[in-house]
Amino acid sequence: MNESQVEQALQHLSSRSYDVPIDFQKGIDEVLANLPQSANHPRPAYRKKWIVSTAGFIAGIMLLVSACFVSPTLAQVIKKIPYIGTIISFVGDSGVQVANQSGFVQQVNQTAVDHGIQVTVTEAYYDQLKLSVGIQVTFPKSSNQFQYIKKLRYELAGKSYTREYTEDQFKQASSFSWRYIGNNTYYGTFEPFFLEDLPQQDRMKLDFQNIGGVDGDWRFDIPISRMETDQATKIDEPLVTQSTNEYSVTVKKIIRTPSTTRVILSLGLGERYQSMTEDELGYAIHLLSTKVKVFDQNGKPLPSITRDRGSTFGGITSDTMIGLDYQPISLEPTSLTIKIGKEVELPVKLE
Amino acid sequence: MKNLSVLEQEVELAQSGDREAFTRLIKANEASMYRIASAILQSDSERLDAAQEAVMKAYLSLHTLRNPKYFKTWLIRILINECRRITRQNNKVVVIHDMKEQASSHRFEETVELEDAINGLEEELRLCVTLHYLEDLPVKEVAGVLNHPEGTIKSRLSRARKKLAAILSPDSSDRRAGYE
Repeated sequence: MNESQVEQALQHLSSRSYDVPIDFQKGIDEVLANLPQSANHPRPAYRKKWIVSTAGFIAGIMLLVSACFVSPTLAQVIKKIPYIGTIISFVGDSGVQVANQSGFVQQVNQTAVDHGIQVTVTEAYYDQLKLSVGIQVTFPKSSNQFQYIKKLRYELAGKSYTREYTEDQFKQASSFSWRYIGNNTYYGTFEPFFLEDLPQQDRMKLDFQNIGGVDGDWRFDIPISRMETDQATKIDEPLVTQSTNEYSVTVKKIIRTPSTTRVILSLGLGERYQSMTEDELGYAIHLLSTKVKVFDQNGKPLPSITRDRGSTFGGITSDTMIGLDYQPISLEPTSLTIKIGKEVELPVKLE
Repeated sequence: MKNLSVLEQEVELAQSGDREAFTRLIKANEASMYRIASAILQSDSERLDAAQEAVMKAYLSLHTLRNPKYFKTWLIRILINECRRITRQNNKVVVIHDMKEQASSHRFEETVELEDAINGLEEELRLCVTLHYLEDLPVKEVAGVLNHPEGTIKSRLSRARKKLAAILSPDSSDRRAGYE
C-alpha cells in the first residue's frame, strides 16, 4: 500500500461508525445527569470513577469509604449502601465490578501494619474464571514517588507463587490495578491469573514482603468460596465450526460467570500459518484475536474485558486457541454471534 | 443579525444555561471523545475518567468559549489535557512497543488492518491521525489543539502516512524501515 492509498483508506475509516462501549456511554450520561444547576456553581471538590452522582454525594461517599475501615458504625452504614463500600467498585476488572453490583463480593476486612504501613484486604471475589481481592494501602508519610507493592508471595490450592516487580513491571502487571486516592493511600486489586481448576472453597495466603521499598511482613489468610458464584455459572460447548481459506475456527466453550463471559475458540491453521516462525505465528494469532467481536442476541457488541485491560490480559492465546473475556451476560438461554473480521460469522446458541 | 449554524445555536443555548443543549452537544461528540481518549489511554476506565472530568470542566468553563464554532476543538483540547493528566498521575505507560517491535520485523500484510496499524503508531503520530483523519479536524485546528505549529502537524501526518504505508505494504523491508 502506498501513501496515497493510505490517505484514501484513512478517509474511508473516518466515515465508519465507531463502537462506543456501553459503560462509557453510561458514565457520560451519569455526569450529564448530575451537572450542577448552574455552570457558575463551584466545582465539586472530588469526583472520580464510574459512579458519579452529585458532587456532595460523592464527597460524602468518599469520606465514608475512607472512614469505614476505622469506624465500625460507619462501616455498618456503608454496608447498607449497595456496591459502593468496596475497593472493587473503584478499581480493577470491570466484569468483577458488575459481579460486585450483583452482591457476589465477600467481605474480608483484615488489616496488617508494619513499619507504619497499613494494609487492609477489604473484600474478595472468586468465580471459576476470576479471583480478585481489594486492597487498601496507607503510607505513614506522603511521597512524591509512585509507591507500589514490590514483592509478594501468595499461596493458592497448595501452590506457592512469588512475584517481584520493578516499577515499570508493576505498572504493566495485569494482576494489579492500582490507584492513588489521596491522603497517602492507594486503592488496588490483586487478581492472580489462573487457568487450572481451583477448589470451590480455599484459603488464599497472601504475604506482602516489600511495599513502597520497605521490607516488611503484611500477611493475610483470606477465605475464598465459589459456592454462590458457581450457582450463577454456566458452561456451554457449542462446537460450531467455520472454515476460511486460511484457517478454521471452532467455538469450543463459552463460560458465563457473574463477572465474565469467556469465549474460547480453537483454531485449525492453514498452510500460510504453518510456514511462519514461532514469533510470526504468535503475532498473527494476536492480530486474529483483535478481530474477534461477539454480539448479543440483539446484535449489540459485548464490551471486551480483555481489551479494556490491555490486550495482554487473559494470556490464553496459543497457536491453537484464542480465549477472550467479555462483560457478563444473563444465564438464560440466549444466542451470540461471533465474528472474526469479515470472513467468519458464527451463530452460537447457549442453553 | 447573526447567521448561526445549528451547532453554534446549541452552544449559545448551552452557554445561556440550557443543560439539555449541553447534553446534546456532549452526546453528539461522545464517539469522538472515546476515540481520542483511546488514542492516548490504554484502559476504558481511564478513558471514562478523562471524559467525565473533561465534560465537567467543559460545563463549568463553557462561558470562556468565545467562538461557538470551535466547540468541538475546545472540548477535544480539554479532553486531551485530562488524558495527559491521568497518564502523568498514574505514570501509566501506553503499551504499544510490543506491537511496534513485532510489526517491525514480520510480514502480516493480509492480517494487519488499518486500525491495528494506527494503534501501533507512537502516541504523537496516532493522535494527529485520529484528530485529522478520523475526527476531520483541519491541520490548523489540530495544531491549535495540540499546541504545536502547523508545520509540525503536517510533518507528523506525513511520517504517520509513511509508517502506515510501510506497515501495510507487503514489502517487509519497507515495513521495517517504517519503524526505525
